[in-house]
Amino acid sequence: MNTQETSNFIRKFFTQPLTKDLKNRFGQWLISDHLNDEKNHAMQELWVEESTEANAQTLEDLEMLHLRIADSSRKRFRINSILKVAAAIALLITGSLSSYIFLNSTQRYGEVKMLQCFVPYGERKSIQLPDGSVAWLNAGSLLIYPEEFRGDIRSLYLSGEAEFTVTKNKKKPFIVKTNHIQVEALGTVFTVTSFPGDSTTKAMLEEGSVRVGVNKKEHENRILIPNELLTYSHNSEKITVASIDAKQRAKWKEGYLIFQAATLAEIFTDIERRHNVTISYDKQRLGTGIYNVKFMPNETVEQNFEVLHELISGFNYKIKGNVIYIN
Amino acid sequence: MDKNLELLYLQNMANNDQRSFDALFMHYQPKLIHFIAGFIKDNEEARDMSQDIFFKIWTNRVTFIQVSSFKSYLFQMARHAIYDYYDHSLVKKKYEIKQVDQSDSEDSIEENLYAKELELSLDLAIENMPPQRKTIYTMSRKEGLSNDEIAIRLNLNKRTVENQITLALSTLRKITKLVNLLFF
Repeated sequence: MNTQETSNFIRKFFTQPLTKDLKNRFGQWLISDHLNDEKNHAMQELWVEESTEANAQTLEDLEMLHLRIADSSRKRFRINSILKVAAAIALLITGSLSSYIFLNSTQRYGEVKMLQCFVPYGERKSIQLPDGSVAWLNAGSLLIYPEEFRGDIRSLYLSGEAEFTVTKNKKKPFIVKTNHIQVEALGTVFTVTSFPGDSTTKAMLEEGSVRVGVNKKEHENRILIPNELLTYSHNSEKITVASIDAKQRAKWKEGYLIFQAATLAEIFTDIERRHNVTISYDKQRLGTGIYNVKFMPNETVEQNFEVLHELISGFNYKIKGNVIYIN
Repeated sequence: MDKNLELLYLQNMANNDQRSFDALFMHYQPKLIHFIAGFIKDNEEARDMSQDIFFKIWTNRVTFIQVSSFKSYLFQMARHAIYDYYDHSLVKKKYEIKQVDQSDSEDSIEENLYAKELELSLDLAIENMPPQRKTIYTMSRKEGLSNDEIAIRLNLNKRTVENQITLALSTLRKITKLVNLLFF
């Protein structure tokens, strides 16, 4: 099903009462791991459209919540934090969910405190890791890392996209774990792209050298040299390596959006994350064109689309608030 | 809500201003309940889930100073809650979509998934039939009763039973046709 059909399908179930059985079957379909992008679009559309006014019940709920807040600060009760971290990691592993996690909140995991950094859509952010390495997180990304790297390895979890500039320490390999692959570095600059719902996970090397391992296949490793982009396809479980200009690609940190041999769908996904908008389109009618495009740091979403309109003959669009419709 | 006002609220909330939190709550909580309830079909549960979400927001209020769109943030939380609801529901096992054999080709995986959607669409259509037609159709197709038997049990004219079944089938055929056009 394409985006429109998925949207119609979900809308039917959203608007009608259902028996328990049908509701549960619909629910399991909804969380099943296919058509993730389409479902997300459909839900976002409904979210934007549907609005309801406050009523007496709203006020009642607010008062209940005030009581609960007062109660919790009196008791200072602590939620079992190990469970929370476990849930966060489980979330990364299942990959079916987007990256909502309490921002930057800290909790204890065994002896070492785990830190979380979440960057919402429309933003990017750089953070310094405990060993002095620097991570640049792109929009919609979540990074979980310890307050202090103990033991023999420096390991972190990533959902989304981040570039790492790793400080050298031969005795402690630096390992970025994602749902599907893990990337190990000694001292180097590289980017890992692993958004939940994407059908691929990518690792790109700018400097130094990294070893990429596939989670499912213990013995499958690949060593990258600078300017190589490794793509792991979740469906076929195959690895492909392409030569690219890594310095250009890494320019998203300065606000550029750069595409080399990208499909329109890939371009749309990045624009959505960058500008926090929804792009509604029919996947089957997008065509198979491959484009090289560069958007400048301060360009608005309107300007991005003007560029695409100029670039691609017959490409038309309409912007309505936060949603962009492609004809 | 006006974007600048919302940012101001978020900032104030991060600085412990409960009134700003209240304003965000009054504006977004009804929408949140409505959205979640649409997916889980349980208003009271949706109300509880919304309370939990806003409780978390207040607990983590300090971090909202960095959030640029509260609305899309809330959407992610709502979606998470809905997924969680179905992921943890006790009936999950029973309804889980069967894993397709890995050795199957891409195509048949697609077909299998669409079959799921077709099945759901048909069942939704049956749900929405007028009560009498629904009863008759279920007795006929799912319980395997003959038109005569149904007529006797429901104390109806056999002709009525036949008509209702014809109408039911024509509705379902329309959906099948549509789905076939779309997918295959």
